[in-house]
Amino acid sequence: MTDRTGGRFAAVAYPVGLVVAGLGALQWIPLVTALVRGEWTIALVFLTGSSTTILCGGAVALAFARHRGRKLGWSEGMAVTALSWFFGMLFCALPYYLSGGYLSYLDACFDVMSGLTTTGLTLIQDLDHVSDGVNMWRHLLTWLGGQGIVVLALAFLFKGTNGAYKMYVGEGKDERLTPNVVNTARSIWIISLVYLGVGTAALWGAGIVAGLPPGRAFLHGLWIFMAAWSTGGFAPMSQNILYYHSLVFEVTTAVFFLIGSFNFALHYAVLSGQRSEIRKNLETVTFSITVVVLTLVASAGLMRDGVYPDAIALFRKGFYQLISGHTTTGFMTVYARQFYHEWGDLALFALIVAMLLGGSACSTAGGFKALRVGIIVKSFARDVRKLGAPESMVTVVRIHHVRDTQLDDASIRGAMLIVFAYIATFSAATLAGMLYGIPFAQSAFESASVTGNVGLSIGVTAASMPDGLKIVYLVTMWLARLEFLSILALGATLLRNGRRR
Amino acid sequence: MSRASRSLPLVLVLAAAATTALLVGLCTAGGTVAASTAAASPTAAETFTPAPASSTDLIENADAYDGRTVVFEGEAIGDRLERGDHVWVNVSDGANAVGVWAPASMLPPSLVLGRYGVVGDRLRIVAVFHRACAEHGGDFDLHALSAEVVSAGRATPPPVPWTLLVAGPGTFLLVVTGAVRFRKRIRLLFTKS
Repeated sequence: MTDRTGGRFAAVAYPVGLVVAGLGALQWIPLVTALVRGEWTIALVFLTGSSTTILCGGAVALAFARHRGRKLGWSEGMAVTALSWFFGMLFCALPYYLSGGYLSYLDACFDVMSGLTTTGLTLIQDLDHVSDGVNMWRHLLTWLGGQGIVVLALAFLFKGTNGAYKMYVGEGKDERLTPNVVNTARSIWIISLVYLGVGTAALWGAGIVAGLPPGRAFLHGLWIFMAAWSTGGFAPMSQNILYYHSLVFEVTTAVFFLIGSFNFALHYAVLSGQRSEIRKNLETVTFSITVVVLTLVASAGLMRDGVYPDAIALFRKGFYQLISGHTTTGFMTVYARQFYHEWGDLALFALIVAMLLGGSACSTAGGFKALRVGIIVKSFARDVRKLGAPESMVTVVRIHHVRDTQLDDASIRGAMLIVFAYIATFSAATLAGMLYGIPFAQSAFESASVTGNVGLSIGVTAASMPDGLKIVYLVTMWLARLEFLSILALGATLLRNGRRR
Repeated sequence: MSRASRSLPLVLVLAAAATTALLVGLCTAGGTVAASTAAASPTAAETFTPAPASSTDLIENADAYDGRTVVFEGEAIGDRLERGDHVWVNVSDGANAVGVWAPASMLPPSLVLGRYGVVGDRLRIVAVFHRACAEHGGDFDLHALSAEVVSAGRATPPPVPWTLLVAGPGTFLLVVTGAVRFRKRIRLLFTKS
């Protein structure tokens, strides 16, 4: 390895080691939960997992600490993010595997990646008998992943800001809430922590109304909030939200996953007093339009086929799954196979499109993102208008996203490239499913869910599915959550280094 | 941005709500009446000779079972969700858990519910199956006609493997030793470069 390559590797290894060690320290939260609940075996599992992760991550960080002042280029900054997620997945899967809840280490890794990317698909065995410690870890992972593990490290672990913005962008977020990226990361975490208090209290109350005893209602409220806010979709019971049989619980979760799918810049603007931003923002306008159109399409399909008996049922089953899919949350109040047997083509089509469109940019949500869809539609409309106008006329299109800006070709190209990457990934994952013998509609549904980091399932994702397909879905979740660039940058760096050698 | 476009999301949401309500009205006046009638009146033969059904049978053939009386057997899991004089208990047959709606008096007050370290009571339930229950917001559920405990639940404390007893404290000791040995270098990590 040349000096240059070695230096580049060292500069990347230090922050990656620190992020991994941080994830090891966070395993003390489920460890304490297990101790409080008297789950001694699970406490030992997390003690082993936490210590091993801290040892490995800490050793790498210490070994390369002298390189921490180095300036990171774009490819290194993005490689830090991609590698942090990859090694984070490997180490965070350790307690899952040791707990005995998974058939293989690959299944445990799949669930970690599903949690961190806020997807919500799961391969866990016998979820209804899983310990509180493991459930705490599942939901904590999805909550951390929603905000971003590198954003967390930037906010609380890293000192100095060398390459901070590059790492931040690498995690699929590119908006600065404040001029300083570290303060931006802290603002994201402050917003999330405030909502954690409010949301847990609200869902605790909803749980008690649903009939849970107060202690269980608190834990369920906390976990479901974590999964709702991060648009994750995990739940402590195998029936997901159907377990509670409660309209109040469903509406409360819908409120929080809807808020969770909004742009952090929008949250920051609203919390700073700019309330009109909710009505004016291009993203909220685009999102409202797509929700309305897709709700109408799904409702028309469900009503044509007489799937639900009345308006309340249509709301609790049809609209809930649709908004859950559109915000990329993945909470379900139906069984996976009910989509296949009952929903019909029209409603399934609306749901697949909703999952691909997704929530807002710089949020916990996945998918194309409403801002990009809005930009593409605006640019398309501009080009159509140009066709009918005199050639000498210059058309200027303004968009409002926190502030008024002029729509330029660079923004349009950026939006189109990412949307194209999502469509290509969705197509590839659908094709992979079909190669494994899954019928087209089911494969398309599952791959839309994986590509959009949603978590709704039509019944394809199970521990019994082929390992090859598990790996395809795992990589797709990773690619889509980091919005491709980090992993492509990592691939390019590795390729370049390989050729040089 | 104009005033009209600012209120666009609100207008669209209201328009969608109105259109959905209209479509729902049209729908409920027609096709689904037959389904709810069928659910309310299973034939005499079906009522008195209930068929055993697994959760997979019910999910995969929901239309065929809709409104029929079935025998469902499984482990009571999670929580007893009290709703006035009725109760929700979720019952798992190993493949899926299904919500059972029952009068509170039908289930023993000391019902053992399965969770970590506990295997719940195994219940045999005779119930009317609803693919999309009109009474419960479209839930896929069973309305119990009778319930009996066929085998009692029990605590199943998980074993503590000796490998974990060694690995947990062992790796923790290594972390503590490392933290003490390299404390100066670790402190440097958390100071500005």
